[in-house]
Amino acid sequence: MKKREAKFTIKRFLMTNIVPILFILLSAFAIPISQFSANYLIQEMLIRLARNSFLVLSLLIPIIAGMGLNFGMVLGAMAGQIGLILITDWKILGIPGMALAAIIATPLAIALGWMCGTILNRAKGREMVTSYILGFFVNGLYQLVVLYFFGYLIPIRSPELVLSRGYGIRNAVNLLGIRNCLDYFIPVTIHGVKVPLGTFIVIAIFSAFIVWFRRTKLGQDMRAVGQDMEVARSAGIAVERTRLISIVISTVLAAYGQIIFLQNIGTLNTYNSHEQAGMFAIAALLVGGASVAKATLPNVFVGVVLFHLMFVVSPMAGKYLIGQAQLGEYFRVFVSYGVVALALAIYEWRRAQERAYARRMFRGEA
Amino acid sequence: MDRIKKFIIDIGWPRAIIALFLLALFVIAPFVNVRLDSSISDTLVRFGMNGVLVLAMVPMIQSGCGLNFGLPLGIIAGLLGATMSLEFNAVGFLGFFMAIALATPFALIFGWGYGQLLNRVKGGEMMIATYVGFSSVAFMCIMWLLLPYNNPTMVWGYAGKGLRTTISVQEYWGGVLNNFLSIRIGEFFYIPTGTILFFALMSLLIWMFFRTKMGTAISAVGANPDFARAAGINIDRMRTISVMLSTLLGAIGIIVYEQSFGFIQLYMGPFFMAFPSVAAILLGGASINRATLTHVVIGTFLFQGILTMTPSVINSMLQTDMSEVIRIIASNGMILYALTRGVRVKSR
Amino acid sequence: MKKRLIMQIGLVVLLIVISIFLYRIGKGFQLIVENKNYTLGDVVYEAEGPVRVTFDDEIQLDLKKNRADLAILVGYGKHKIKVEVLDNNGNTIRTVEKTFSLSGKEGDLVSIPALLNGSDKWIFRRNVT
Repeated sequence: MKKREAKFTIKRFLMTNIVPILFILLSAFAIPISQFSANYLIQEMLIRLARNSFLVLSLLIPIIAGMGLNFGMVLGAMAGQIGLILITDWKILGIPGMALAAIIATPLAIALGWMCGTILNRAKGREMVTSYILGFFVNGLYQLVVLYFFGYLIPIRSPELVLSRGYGIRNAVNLLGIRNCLDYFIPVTIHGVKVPLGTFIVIAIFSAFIVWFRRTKLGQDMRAVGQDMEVARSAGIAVERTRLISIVISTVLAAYGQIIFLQNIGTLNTYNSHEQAGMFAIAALLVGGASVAKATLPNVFVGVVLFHLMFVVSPMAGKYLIGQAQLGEYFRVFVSYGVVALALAIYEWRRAQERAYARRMFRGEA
Repeated sequence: MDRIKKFIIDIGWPRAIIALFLLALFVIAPFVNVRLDSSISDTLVRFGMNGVLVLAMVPMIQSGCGLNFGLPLGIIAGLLGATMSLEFNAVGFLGFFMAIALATPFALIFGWGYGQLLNRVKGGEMMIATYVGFSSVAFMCIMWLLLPYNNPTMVWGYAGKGLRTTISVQEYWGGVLNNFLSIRIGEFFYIPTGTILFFALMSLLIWMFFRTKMGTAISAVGANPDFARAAGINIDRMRTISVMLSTLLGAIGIIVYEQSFGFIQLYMGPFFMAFPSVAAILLGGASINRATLTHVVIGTFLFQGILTMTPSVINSMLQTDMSEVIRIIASNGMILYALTRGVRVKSR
Repeated sequence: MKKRLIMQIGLVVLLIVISIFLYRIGKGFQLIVENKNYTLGDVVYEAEGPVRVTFDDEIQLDLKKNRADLAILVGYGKHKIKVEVLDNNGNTIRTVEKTFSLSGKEGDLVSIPALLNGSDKWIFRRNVT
């Protein structure tokens, strides 16, 4: 009896961590082939941790509230980008520029998050697909604003931002003014590896915020709502309001995350940056071993490292293995979508099994 | 007044607004120098082009699997069939039907696997379907580079291997349906009779299928799974069949699309192709758990009408190209509306 | 309830104040620094051999004779400029330090010869042609 139990736990461990294990195996296979030096990979991972962690952190709170992966985080990313476009036009540089972009983005993100939360409250049980479509929908609105209103209703003075027809923002906005200003705010170099300490400090503060937040009354309410909405309601928790707040917080954090992300990259792809942000953040979190219902801080950081390791390594591995870098590019696209599909499927599968088990138990008892 | 109100509520606000918008576009068109006859003709062509793809939504919605965001899987089967028929140098109707025949086994196999997956993830179908669609498109990107095709019209000239991103089918079976029995009046107006007839034939087959015992069983599974189980229907089997049927229709749909469009689009081409079809059937009045052929016809016509009319009319009015943005907002707004509405109906 | 409203309004006002503050300390100004012969009225200031120009102890420009370059200064308010005239071996011959305020508009021009020769009109807004 005991033996069977032990076997069960190993199987369960494999089952719950199948995605990270697959990724570790994949990286172990691909790193030697890619021929990158250890120093290069460490530098690259530090940069990507700084670049992406905050965006991934923004996904945690809706998961606590049982709303699944917030595909609507792209709404926040768009708000952040609007802030960045404005400060670039006003020529505000450095940390003040970033802070101002964040202040501009905050009300936008709150408004968008409030809208998202309201809509998701009307689509309970399929929050993910709804927030996903909502991302596309708001992308349409974003394009309307940025492509037609900016420079027309909203004054933009810098000619290098505006399309030659006189309104609308160009495809690429150069963020030289704030590039890396937070990353290397405190310059640290260890063995020739530059450490983006400034950004790590901000990420640490917000990680602490999330840990603290879970213990507050609101955080506890969210957990209750996430476990069972009806039970929470009967316990006197304002379910709709709690869910709404979780989405608003997530959207605002995503806006800040996108500002940090673009601060590191240094160029804003006006019409693409936000879409990729959502895609990669979600894939990274799932690679870290999170599921739709449970995600922790280690999931975030492990996920970012593993996912981006694969991302850096695969084109070169493809090149040396088959002679085509393009193949590696497609491979990483395939993996980033495939991993989401796999993680979602495993989660739903297990839930279906649990339901079936509960049903059997119920029948057995009765 | 009350009757108008009731009518609008019956057909739903977004549908009413979009129908009125389309009507307005048709009315305005002559005043801004957009030819009405060529616009209507374009709408008909696009209607025929996309009809079968929209039809591919019906079986899965009916069996309760939700909106088929995994349509790219069917499209990939169709692409495999289409490229293989070109590889065999098949031309004309022979080529067209050969493409369908070659696509069918792939569609059935993919559909079966896809159905098995969806049976294990009941309740989360739509999100998983989306990502299954995406990852299969990305996977096929790799395959298009590696599969051993030889026909020089399809393969990159300089490398001698790997398929091109767009392949012209003009010399093979481009326009075979469009030109079959087509009616041309004047310089601008023409009806692609063959394509529309083919769509009608497909619709008829689906209509007949849902009148058979198996068809009604599938509808029963979608309408009330508990009742269906009690009646001794094998739910998983019915769902798998509906998914296979949807995937097959997706494969046929893309071949019809290509013969009208004149090109095969590979690589990331099929990536977002599910969304216009999903939007179209919802626009036609379907909800996420009920769809009929009327919904397909109305939805495709309205949606393609908007897509045809907005660029030409809006552009000549405002001198800017806002059609892309309008398309994004309208189609996703429609999907969003349906997703938020389905719940309220269910909870009642 | 009223207390809460006051709190909220206060918060918004505070945010606006912070925003204005950030705007003022973060605003970047492009400055043209010119080491060319410069005519003011009927006085001609001659450009001198290589100079090293330092703004706010941070931004450093090395200018040869008859050259110009761009500098971006951050923030409204007072700025410091230090000009060192160098000999051909890179040793400093003489140093001039001054503080100044920007016009707050784009395209201020600094004329090094005018500054070195003690003119008070060494910084001005360039006429945009």
